[in-house]
Amino acid sequence: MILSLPLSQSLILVLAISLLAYVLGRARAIYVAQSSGRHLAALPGYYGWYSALFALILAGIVGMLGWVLNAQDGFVRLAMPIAAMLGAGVSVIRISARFKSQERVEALIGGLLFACGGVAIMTTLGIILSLAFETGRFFGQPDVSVIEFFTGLEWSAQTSAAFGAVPLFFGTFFIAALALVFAAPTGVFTAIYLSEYAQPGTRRVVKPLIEILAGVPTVVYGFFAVLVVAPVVHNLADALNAGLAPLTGRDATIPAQPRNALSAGLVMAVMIIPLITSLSDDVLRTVPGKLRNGALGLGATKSEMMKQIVLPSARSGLLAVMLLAISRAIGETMIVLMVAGDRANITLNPFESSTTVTVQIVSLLTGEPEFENSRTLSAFALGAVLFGVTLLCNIVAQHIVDRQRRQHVQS
Amino acid sequence: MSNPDANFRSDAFNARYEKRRRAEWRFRLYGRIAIALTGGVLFLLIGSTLLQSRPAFIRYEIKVNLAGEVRDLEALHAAVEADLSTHFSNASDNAQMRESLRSFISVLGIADFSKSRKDLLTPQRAAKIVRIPISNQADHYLKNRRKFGVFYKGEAPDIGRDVPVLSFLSDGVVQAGPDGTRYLLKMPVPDGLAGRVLALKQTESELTLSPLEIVMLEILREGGVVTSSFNTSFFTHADSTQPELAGILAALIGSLMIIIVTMALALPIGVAAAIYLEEFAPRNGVTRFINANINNLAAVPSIVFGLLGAAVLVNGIDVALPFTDISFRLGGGMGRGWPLVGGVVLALMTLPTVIIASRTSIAAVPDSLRNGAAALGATRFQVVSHHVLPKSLPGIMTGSIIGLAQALGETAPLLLIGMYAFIGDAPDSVSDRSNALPVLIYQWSGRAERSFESLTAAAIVILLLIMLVMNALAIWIRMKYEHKSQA
Repeated sequence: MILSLPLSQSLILVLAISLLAYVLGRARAIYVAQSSGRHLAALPGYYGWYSALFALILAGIVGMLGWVLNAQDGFVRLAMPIAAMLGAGVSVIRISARFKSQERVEALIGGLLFACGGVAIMTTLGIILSLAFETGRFFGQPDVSVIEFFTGLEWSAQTSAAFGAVPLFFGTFFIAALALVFAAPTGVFTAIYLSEYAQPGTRRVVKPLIEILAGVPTVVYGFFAVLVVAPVVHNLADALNAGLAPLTGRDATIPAQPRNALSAGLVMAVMIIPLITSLSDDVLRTVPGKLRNGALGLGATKSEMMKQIVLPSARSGLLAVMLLAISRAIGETMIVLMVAGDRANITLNPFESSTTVTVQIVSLLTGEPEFENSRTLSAFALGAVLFGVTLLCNIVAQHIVDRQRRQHVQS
Repeated sequence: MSNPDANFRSDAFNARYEKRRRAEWRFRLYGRIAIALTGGVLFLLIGSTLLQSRPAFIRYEIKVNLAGEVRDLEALHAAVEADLSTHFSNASDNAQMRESLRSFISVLGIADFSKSRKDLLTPQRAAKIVRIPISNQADHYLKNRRKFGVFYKGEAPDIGRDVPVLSFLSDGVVQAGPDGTRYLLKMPVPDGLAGRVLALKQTESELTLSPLEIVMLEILREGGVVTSSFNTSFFTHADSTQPELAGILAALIGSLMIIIVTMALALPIGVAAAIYLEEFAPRNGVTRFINANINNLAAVPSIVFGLLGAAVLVNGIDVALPFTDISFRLGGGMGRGWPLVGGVVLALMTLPTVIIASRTSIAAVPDSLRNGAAALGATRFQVVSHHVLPKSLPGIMTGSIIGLAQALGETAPLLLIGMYAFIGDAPDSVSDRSNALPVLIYQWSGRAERSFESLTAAAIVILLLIMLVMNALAIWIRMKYEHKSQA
């Protein structure tokens, strides 16, 4: 390439050309109006906007196409400013007094807005296609079989020896279940207390505190898990073993490791408590006030009203909350990566280390991954399963919530 | 006629009433316990991190008086040694003591220190006082002196373990070895230490420093040669394998670039999408589909976005057209670990948050405003750009800033797009291999040296502070806007 442009300079050039197009378009509109003695069809600024947008959009299309079709980088960087110049030139020349620039600008912006709305769909499509594509390639490898992947009990992908993902699915759901066992009662009771019992002052203090908990990055939770929680859990296991030793006659009745599933589950519970609290709060709020008032009017105490009227009527909503919490827990990466260990084993002993789908995805894709071998591609197969399961959880939860809302509206 | 009150005074009633009252009390207690647990964990989380981080912000240095010409590393070593030796009358002919002195200034030999080393060299003959960061082991001892040993006046009590006991006399230090032997280390002891006994808490094999080195450190400290100061290198250095030189600057710059890319993409696209959906979209199946899509996208695990980035942005998708020999690669071409890639991935992840926040804010603009503007002849675009958007901007900003703060702490997707390797310097541009603050936290937390524990905690404190500032900004914008709209 004779002329090589860095990306940032290329982008700045495009912006500069667009700015120039605005100035030129506006100036030409005024000139045309004066020389022809006609009124312009729109304010002069719209002519400028028309030229600038035209240049920008053309450069954007060229840039996107160039990247998607994998054109040579230097070529794209050069082509973008050229496209902008072309767009600016053509649009400025097209300007005449009768040219309805405002309509055109609004049509262009409308198109842009629609395109932006489509980005979300494109992202989903991109996720589905790329995962499906790489997963397809994974199952197309000679040493991989679909049946083994979903039913095999042995996982050692690092050596490309065995791709039985059942231990990973087990570990993922085991840790998520541990988290839910701790987080569900805590979260729901927090929501109940805050909405039914707490003084406004308490609410004003506690709610932001829970929001802080929701904002803490997961890597921070991971560090906390490694440094504070895991040693405590390991010591607990040691104490249990010491207590059980006379009964069982073994040194370690419960095998325990410094990195273990329980630590991950506990800290993950802390992470999902805010989610459960705020969602349960929403769900409890959807229970119609007349049900509450009816219960209280018949002499029920607040707890009886909650236990016998509100909670049963919000049962399906709370189920949806738990589904969303599970979906969040199984997609969580950093906590399990840092504290759960990476031994692919099927055990119900929470003191042993365990591994999850997300941990394996990270460890398979770090290191210089070649996209050709089954080791790297297996990460995408795991990702596809993860995406599918979380999506399913969300869709089911959404469905439940919608149904409950309709019921309450009808009743 | 029986007394109508009797039913409400019977024992059965009282028992039932008492039972119900207790049940109510228990129910309320469960709620209190739940909140106390949550609050306690938050307190523990923040407290333990702050406590852990404290040592990382302090840095022990050796103050050295360099006299004469110091041209290269060897001369510098010699000059430092010579200056420090003046504090120990017998050090110049004692090989063990010279070696200890050298170990304190081991940082001079580390490659990462080469930039700072240049400032230490003095080409002219003028004397110059310089400060050299002390070695990691010595730093660790000085920060945890109480954990290593305790000073006693006079005799040390019997500790009952085979640990070294050091008596500081006026003419030197008597070291009592574990086997009962006692020997005198001849050296001038400063007044502050004379007559004291230092009982170490660990045996010699457990200590990372030898008893001699500890004695020398104590003497240098008492003599004012070893001083502590604020650890500025934590903020001015890039990552290093040596904890005494490791800093967060490069990762901070990387994170800044990532977040700028994220903001530049997610904010305009998200707001535009929200405007389309709220103001222009027809109420039809396509719009419902987009809505459902955005809600689902908001719940997709972040690691899946990392997979998307790795597959589409970094590697590209190889497509082979069926029944032909034509195959080509779509996308890809971006480098592993670029801030640009990280920014794009996090932008896609943050997009649903921005869209949802913007939609809420736009929907809150009263229709009277739209109708009023339209009645005065504004087109739909003018209504939006002149009235709806300015009115909803504070709400949009609040939601977006909170979304960006979340993106700032995101780690897993960055690991997947190649930000996991050791990066020793800051990126020059968005298309240069880089590190990010949360990734650095992850890397440091896995390193073996104990000093990295406090460095990790310190990096977390900085990350949380930045997020706190962003959130405070968001709240400030919201409050300011609320006050305005009430007036």
